[in-house]
Amino acid sequence: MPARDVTSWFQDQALSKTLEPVRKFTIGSSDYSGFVMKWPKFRRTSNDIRPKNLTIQLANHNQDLNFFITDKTLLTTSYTIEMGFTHPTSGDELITMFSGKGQTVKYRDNKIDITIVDKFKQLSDRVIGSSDVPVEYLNSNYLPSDIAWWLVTSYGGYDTTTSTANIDIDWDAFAEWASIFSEGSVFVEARFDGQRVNEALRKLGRQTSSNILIQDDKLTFFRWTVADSNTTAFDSSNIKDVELEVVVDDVVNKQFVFADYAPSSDFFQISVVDQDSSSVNSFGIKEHVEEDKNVWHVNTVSALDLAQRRTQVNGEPFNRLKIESGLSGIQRFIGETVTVVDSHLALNEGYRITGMEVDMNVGQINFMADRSQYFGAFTLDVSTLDGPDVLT
Amino acid sequence: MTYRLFVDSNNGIDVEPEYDYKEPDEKIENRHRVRSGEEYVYKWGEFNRWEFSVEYINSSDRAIINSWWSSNTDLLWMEEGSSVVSSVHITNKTKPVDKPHKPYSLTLWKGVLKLGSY
Repeated sequence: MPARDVTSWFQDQALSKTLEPVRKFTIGSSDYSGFVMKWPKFRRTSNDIRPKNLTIQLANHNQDLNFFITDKTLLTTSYTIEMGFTHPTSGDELITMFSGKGQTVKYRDNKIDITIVDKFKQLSDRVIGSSDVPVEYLNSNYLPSDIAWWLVTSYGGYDTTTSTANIDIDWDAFAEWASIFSEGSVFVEARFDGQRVNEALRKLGRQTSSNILIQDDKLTFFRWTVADSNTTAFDSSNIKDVELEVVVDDVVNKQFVFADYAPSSDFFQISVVDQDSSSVNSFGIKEHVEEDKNVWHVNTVSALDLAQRRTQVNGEPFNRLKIESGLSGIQRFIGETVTVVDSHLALNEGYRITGMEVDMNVGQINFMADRSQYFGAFTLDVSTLDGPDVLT
Repeated sequence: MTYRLFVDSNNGIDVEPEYDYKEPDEKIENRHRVRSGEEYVYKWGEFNRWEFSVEYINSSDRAIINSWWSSNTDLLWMEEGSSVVSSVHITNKTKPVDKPHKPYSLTLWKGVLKLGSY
């Protein structure tokens, strides 16, 4: 999982103790930064495929923003919120913090609140098939990535360009994600009778232990693999506060997976189960059932792989961290791995960032990170089906 | 020390600030104190402010100043003879020139002017 593509100068700035960050808000191609009264807060996580929105407040005392009242189509233009630093000679280096389309405008007193919603909205506005005419991917072995592509392009209306020029989909991430399934011969079938596109994607992500989210205004797909080297350390020099939480209910030590569904007879022809006996002895039986009539695995091997992933990731309750910091990690992406050092909690280990809460008004970023998504990912790539080797 | 508060070259008044004249400029910034005790300061911007009392303002100038305050008029502010001109608004919460001088003939007024750059 690569970090954002920023210069080393940008990274140095982010670590600086006295900063003059730049925030930029554009409507279409016009800069409205000077009108912003309150910069927004927003939150993203790795496993929530729902439209995200934020509200930005602008000054309208001179009626400069009355144009929405006369031309409401301007709401559907593109909105971008960026943040970064101004290089003394080469100008602004900014990264996109949030982008999307306008959802609502509210005029009150001399202010205007604009609510912007991200790219998932387009997927949640559209459905796949109907009960009369379902969309079916049956009678063949489909790669999950192929179905995902068809869902977001044919039904979601996203760009179909199969290169890095794709404006809606992170092509490199998609290609890497797809290769996991083709190399591992993971096959599924699917049938949709009116589900929204984002709901179908969520089910596909669940069946394949994948994370699907939007970063840098592009739909990104990935499944955790062997942890990258941890280039960033969160320690006492940049942590304002850290919370550590362990929740026993995170544990799943007996996972059932139903597969090879036959819609005509409404029957799953395969069922598998995987159990982590050690976890059962420690925490008691914590069962979970994966039974989906929209997306399902077609063979025992694929279904068992899913069951084993669940019990290996969730066999023990894992450390969940919430790290409060300033802007030192501004260039980090969800999915990156970081080293967290805290003397009081005796932490000095790798974690994977699973979410971010960004408060652009005060320059604070809270990172959610957890250990399962780090250590678990590493464990998962011990190929338990065919040997103890570590896949790289 | 005479200053000029004006809209353009044809519309303005001369202002003589009293001895309480000050320039309490403000920064807009956030400070983050991390666990090691180190501090990160993020400065988003700053703006200029001027605050001073004015006295013996005639009724005509009083009406102009209070009108600018009421309508949030975009104004210019400079020390006479200086080349530095600032764009300002009158930022008083309440009417700036609001007290008559004795003997309350309502011909001469006083008050406090608060200006902020925009």
